[in-house]
Amino acid sequence: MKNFTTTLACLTSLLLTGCYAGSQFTIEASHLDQPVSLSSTIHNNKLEVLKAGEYEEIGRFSVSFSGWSLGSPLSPNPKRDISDVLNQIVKEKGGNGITHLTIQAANNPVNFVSMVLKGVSWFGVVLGSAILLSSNPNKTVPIEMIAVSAAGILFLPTVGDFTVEGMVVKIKQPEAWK
Amino acid sequence: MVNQRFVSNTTNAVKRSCAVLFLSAGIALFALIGCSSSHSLQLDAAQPVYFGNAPPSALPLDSAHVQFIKQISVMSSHVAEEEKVVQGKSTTFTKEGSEGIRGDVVVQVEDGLENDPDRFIGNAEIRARVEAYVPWTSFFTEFLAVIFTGQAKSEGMGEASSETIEISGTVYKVRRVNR
Repeated sequence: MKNFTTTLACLTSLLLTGCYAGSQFTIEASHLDQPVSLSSTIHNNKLEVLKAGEYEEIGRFSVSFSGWSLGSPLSPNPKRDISDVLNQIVKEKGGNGITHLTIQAANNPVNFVSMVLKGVSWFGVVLGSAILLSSNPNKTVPIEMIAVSAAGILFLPTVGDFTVEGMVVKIKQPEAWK
Repeated sequence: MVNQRFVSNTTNAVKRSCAVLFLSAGIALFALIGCSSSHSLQLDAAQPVYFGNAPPSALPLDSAHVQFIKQISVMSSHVAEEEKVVQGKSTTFTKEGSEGIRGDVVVQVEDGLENDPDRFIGNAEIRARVEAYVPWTSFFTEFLAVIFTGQAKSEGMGEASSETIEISGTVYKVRRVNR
């Protein structure tokens, strides 16, 4: 019976491990000083659409950062405001806008570690529950095992690596921009 | 008696240390061989797509200056070496280099813009989701293929990595008559 319970716990945790370790991040910009376009076009002061070649391209930039999350349903959706970073880049390069803004997302190796540890935690929850429901008189150990394992499932961190790239540009009517 | 207890305690301590080391090495190995991939999403449109609060200062996003048209969203997912674009026309390319498997997607945005030069997208926000998981379906399919045919269907069946990027925003139309 004990072997059967252990085998069942192993198989269940194996399947549950197949879920995932991951999380969602929101990247926003609430106080940009200059226009930042994700496409290759941007407006001038007459609200005419300028295509690539109709504005001066000063130089490309690339900014990388990581976002940490608990990766569980209890975790709030982490937000990252990159306004200050983009404002600083435009200021340093002497431009008055950004075009071709691109976002790149990647898994961090921490997520693979969390995925394994979450599998171990699921195993702890299943095994602890099996012992708790059995005729074992000692209930303290399985309760502790379930509590620690559940904490692992809920609070193991996940990390997303992000890179924001773009082109700092100079519009031909700079007096029109803020 | 003391010596026996000392030996027993030492043996147990060594066993526990070995177990911890073995577990740590396994986890570290899992992290090292983890499927390294990344996904980038680039938009292409005939009209500007403004990120955050940043249309030109000459164009406040209020009803006196612009007309609200609709909310739009462009989402793109990348699972290991396979890209899937949910909305929009796209150009995709994948390459595997020192940084892992990259899926770069360029999406042509036309929804709501309709080639109208007075339309543009504002208040764009980016949401990104990263996931690491073991694809058990592929794993068992591969396992059965090896058992029954003696040949693997693909090159690997380890961990999988997926990245999803969603860009949402609002389509506006410039009110020329009120300006």
